[in-house]
Formats: sequence, C-alpha cells, structure tokens
Amino acid sequence: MTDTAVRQDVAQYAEGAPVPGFTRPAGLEAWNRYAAVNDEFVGIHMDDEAGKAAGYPGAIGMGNLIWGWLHCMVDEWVGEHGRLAHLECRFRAPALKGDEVVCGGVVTARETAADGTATLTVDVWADRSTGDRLVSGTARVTLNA
Amino acid sequence: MSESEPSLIRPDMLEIVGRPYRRQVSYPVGASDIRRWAAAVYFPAAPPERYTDPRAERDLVAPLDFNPFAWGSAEVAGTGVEIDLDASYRSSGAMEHFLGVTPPELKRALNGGVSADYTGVPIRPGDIITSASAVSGYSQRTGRLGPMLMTDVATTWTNQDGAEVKTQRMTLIRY
Repeated sequence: MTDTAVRQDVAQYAEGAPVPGFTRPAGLEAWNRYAAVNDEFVGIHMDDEAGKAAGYPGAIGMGNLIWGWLHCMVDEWVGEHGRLAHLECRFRAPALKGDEVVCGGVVTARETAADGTATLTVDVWADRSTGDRLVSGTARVTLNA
Repeated sequence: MSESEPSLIRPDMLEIVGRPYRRQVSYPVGASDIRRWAAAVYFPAAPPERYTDPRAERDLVAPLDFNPFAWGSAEVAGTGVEIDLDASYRSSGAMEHFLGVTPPELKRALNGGVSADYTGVPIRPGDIITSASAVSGYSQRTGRLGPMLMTDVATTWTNQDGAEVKTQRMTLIRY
C-alpha cells in the first residue's frame, strides 16, 4: 500500500468519518422481492387495508429489509478492509410506499489494538428523505491490521 | 406499566424464559439462494459482482443478513410439549406454544429491534446451518398502539462443523 493509500484508508475510517450513504426506494417493488426471499408475505407489508387496520396510512415496509440495507451500506464501505462484527438497531417508524430511505452513518470511535487491528464504533441510521428517522443503531467494525 | 393495567406477562410465560423452544437445521445453502437474496436487498441496483460473477462462485459468501430458514427447514426438532396454535396467530410471531404455553392474546406484531454478533465464520454454498432459539425475557409498556408486550429472543447459528456463525437477538413487539 502506498503512503497516499494509507492516508486515504486512515481518513476513511477515522473518528468522525462519514459512512457513504445507501439509498433505496420503499414500496411494493422492493417489499415483494424481499418477501419472496424471506417468506415475509405478511398482510401489513402487502395490503393497504391491513396496514390501515394496524394504524398506519397503508402497507408498511419490513424492518428486516432496512436491516439488510444497513448491512449493505457497511459492507460496501468496509469491503476487503475488515468486517462487520456487530450491528444493533431499533425500529422507530416503518417505511411507507413512496418513501426514499436514506441509510447513513458516522464513525464515533476508533481503537487500535497492539496487533494493529482497529475496532470502529459507528452510529448508523435510516431516515426518510424528509428527515424522519426510521431506524437508529450502532455498528462495530473490525479493520484488518 | 401503570398499576391499573393488566399484566400481559403471565407466570407460565416466565417459566419458559431461557428454555430452547426451537431447533432447526437448514437445507444446504444454494448459490442461487445467496444470489436471489443479494438481488432482493440491493434492488433496484444490481448486486455487486462478487454475488453474480460465475467465475467467483468458489469464493461466494452469503450476505450477513442472509436467512437460510426463510422457506423451510430440513429438520425441526420439537420440544415434545408443543400445543396447537390457532391460525389467527400466524402473523403474531408467537413462540410460547412450542413450549406448551398458550401465547398472549396479541395477534399483531412489529419488529422492535434487533442485534447481531458475527463471528467472522462465513456462510457459503453447501453449508448446513443449525439454529437454536430461546426467549431471553419479557417486558411490557403502553404506547401509541395500546398495551404492548416486548419479547426478547436470542438465536444462535452454527454450521455443519459446529462453528458459531452468529448470535442474533430480536425484540418482538406484540400488541
């Protein structure tokens, strides 16, 4: 690795560094595909009437799919430099049809062990493009020495 | 919870805390299972090449959020004390019936939160995953949707070599 590459690597994963965003449209096209792989054909995710009966404006998206999008975001960011060791999140509000869901994150801490491996603590979230927070959480990433 | 609200947590429910209620063994994971999963979570973009390039199949690894149990299991080990569950509970996520306990009368459910610890052991095509789950605790509060029961469930996955892949904890909100 060149000196320039090393500096880029350190900056990319330094405390305060942002995680490149991962944005996806919410709606039946995405939800049906996810239901098809996760067998998640639950009424509130498929049917507006079921969503309304549960107190929402219509059908709502799967928390599991946003969980998946957060994994995609971290995976794309870390790549071959390390791995995701821990992810936790709380689901505050569901995505609705037509929402654009913007996943993001920021490094809040970086600790380097004697063997050169680094552990990052990362705040992560998923927001509607309007700014409403749907999901908030924390990731722990281990970077290779 | 206020004193006037009835408890959703019965003594017989507390007795099952910590007792494994479900052990499943997956079918061997297929490369197509992994590719379809990646296609679904990356939609509408195409998944990264590491999932789609046939020349990379030897190195194909499932996304960490991949679920090899979604469409069924090769083997489900019962507890021997299961009771039938009314179809109206299908979307409730109830699990108490696996240990002979009638679930609470709450038939709607939301995913309240999830956490996962990944060991670094990957899931590859051909792997067979064993999953074991237990309720780790109950709590109750009242929210916008009325009285809500929070059920914490811990699930550990191991592969065919006995290596732990992950432990996932989920909070199921029933209301």
